[in-house]
Amino acid sequence: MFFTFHKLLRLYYRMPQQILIEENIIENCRNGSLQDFRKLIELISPFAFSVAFRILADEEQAKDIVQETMITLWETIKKIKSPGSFMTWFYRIVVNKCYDQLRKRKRNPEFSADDGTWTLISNKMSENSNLEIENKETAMMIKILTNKLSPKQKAVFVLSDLEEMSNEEVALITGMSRINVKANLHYARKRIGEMIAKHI
Amino acid sequence: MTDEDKKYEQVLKMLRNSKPILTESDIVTEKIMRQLQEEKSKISIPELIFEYLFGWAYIGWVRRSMIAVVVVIVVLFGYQQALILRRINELSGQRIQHSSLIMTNMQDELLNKIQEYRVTGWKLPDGGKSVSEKEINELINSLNKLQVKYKDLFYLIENDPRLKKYVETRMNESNKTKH
Repeated sequence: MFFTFHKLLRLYYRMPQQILIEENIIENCRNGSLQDFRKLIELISPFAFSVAFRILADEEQAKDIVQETMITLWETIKKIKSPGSFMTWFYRIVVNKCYDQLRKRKRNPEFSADDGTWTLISNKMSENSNLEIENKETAMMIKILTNKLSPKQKAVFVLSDLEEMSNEEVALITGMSRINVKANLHYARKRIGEMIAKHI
Repeated sequence: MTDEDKKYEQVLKMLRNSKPILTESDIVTEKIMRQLQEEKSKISIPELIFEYLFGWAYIGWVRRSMIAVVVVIVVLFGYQQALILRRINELSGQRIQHSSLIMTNMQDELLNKIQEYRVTGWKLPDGGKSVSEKEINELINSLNKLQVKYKDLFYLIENDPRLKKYVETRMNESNKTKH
């Protein structure tokens, strides 16, 4: 019984996003197999893109982050102590790359929301909230909603509220304590709520 | 739920539903793979040497075996240290016994017997109770004092013929009553 359970545990690594990766793929990547790394990229890059896109609210920059993340992952995959912590490691790389990008952006602020963008959001909301909107519109929405947030608050908001991860997972990925995660999330929700109340 | 909360939930729902889609993922993958191939071909000689020398550290079973060996070595070291400490304690105990023997420097038969107890062990033969070093010291001190008093008394009796005679008479009487 124990053996079966143990075997099952070793077979797959469960990600916060319900994605299952075979242990062999990670182990082969650790041993230098580029072929398996390609498979890994195909499996996990959409998740890196989703997080990066939602934090940065920029499609091209998010794609760059995916590339940089994968390169860093390849360079550091041997250093992962236990393959079980692979996904946390992976998301941590993504979030750190996003922090770097946001810091660069802080030096060159280029965005300010006008009334037109708020009207567009209002229209989309009145159409149907179940409606899937395009990348460009999503980026614009996230950009104006999270514009006033700090990089940490953005990351916590995206991971908790949009990627629907638990506080424990967010704490592990961002390296914050659970209390800090809660505090940042509370502040982010408050600021976004104020923006929505003011403009929509 | 307030109107603001409803709006917030609505916006959140809309954003959650609109999962960003990685378009041209093949191109992104190819770019990454190309970059990796280029970097792989660019590996310098020092890196290769480092990889050759320490690359084994990244192999799972080697790392686990090393951990096991380290644990065994640490346990052995601890055990050895415990043995050495025990031996040191034994030896230091013996040294104290001998030094106290030298320090007390007593010739009396009774005191020699006490010292024998201290050398051979801490237990008295009849009661089986352990005697501490402090108790032995107290006993020796009181015996020393008693010996001094006995000498003084003996000197007094020897120098006073009347007292000597009186003591001898009393002792004879006492011996007679005993028999």
